[in-house]
Amino acid sequence: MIPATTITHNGTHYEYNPSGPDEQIIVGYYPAGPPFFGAPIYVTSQPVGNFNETYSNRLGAGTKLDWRVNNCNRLVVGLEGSTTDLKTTQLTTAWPTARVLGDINEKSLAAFVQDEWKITNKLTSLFSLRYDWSGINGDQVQTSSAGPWNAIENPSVDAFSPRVALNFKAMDDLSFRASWGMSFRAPTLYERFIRSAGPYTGNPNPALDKESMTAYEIGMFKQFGDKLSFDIAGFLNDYNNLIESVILSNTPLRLFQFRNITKARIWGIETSLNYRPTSEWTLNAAYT
Amino acid sequence: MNAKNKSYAVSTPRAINDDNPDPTWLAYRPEHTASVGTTWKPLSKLLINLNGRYISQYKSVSAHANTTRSNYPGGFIVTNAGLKYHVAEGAELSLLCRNIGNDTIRRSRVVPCPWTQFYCGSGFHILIRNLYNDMIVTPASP
Repeated sequence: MIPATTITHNGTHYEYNPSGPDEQIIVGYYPAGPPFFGAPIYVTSQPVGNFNETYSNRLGAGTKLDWRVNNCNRLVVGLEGSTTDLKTTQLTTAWPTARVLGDINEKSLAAFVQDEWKITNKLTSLFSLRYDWSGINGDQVQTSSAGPWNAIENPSVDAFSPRVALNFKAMDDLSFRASWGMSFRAPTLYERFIRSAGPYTGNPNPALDKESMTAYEIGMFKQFGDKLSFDIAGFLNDYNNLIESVILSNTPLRLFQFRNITKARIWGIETSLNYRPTSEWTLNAAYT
Repeated sequence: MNAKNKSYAVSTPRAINDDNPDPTWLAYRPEHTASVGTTWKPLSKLLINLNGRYISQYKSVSAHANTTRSNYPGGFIVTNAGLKYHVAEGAELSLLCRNIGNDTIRRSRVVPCPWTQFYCGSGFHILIRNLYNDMIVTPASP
């Protein structure tokens, strides 16, 4: 448990050691008997001001054109963009100084096109292609208090993400679907620059790269009358360079770092049941 | 659900994740999740939602790992409630309360997650109608 003395809860927010002497995080207590007689077990001490103060401003805009080309074809094209200004005491390119706000900017742009094609009365296809770009304004990061500056290998990342989906309406109340798609995720600013998480010290990874995923899904939807429906799908997601947190156990500072896992796979079955007894009420249950 | 690190190898220096009973299982991915929810529309402009989600005990963690999964997080139910009000065309107001039961949710036994959280939001949409009609090229009559 964490004693109240290490974290101040001010009703609406936590302050992590805002004043006073260095505070120590206690993760437990030794047994009452010898040799330690119930003494607290400390894992780390945190100096005054070593908490994360955050101000964030995000501005985004997007536009989409939905064009029904003909009775069988519907085309959607669009553009999106956003900029995020993040000022925090912990997420900084330089090693953090207590109560000094850093300044990081992240921009993202995307363009997409999607075509929904009704091939026959029962078969519909969906093809989409999306291009994303995401970048930050920093190109170097300091990984220790007096340490060298390391070049950030991927200050910007981009990718094309295609997707193909088919839907076959076998009967009025029964349909089958299948899809294949690729997508990507840029490292978040926290994953790039995190410096502290309770007793752990974050060590920014200058080599952190985007993660990408190839997804497969097959599914079935069945309607039972007007009120009840059931959906089941099997999915398989293959990841390249999945971003995960890794804590190194035998380092004195309990260092952790976000790293790319070369290959990972998540797969399973999703089911959901929907019941709508009246027009005002909907009940649902799901399992994965 | 299954979640596996297909390129797992013991880290150098050794990582805490290596101490899990199954270190190939991705940290903090539960094997089972289930949810139930209900939506009520008492007025044409008002939507109220209540849902609960069960998350089974994590099979692998990246902090305080041990070979018996002692004190591993998970096995909890999170309940949320939301309200959405359609103020006018293109404008809506929403309120959300997450973890209304103030259940103890932890990713690690020393890092508590935020307790009950409250959100208030507003959304505005601008619709340009019938734009596509102008885009359709009508074929010339033969």
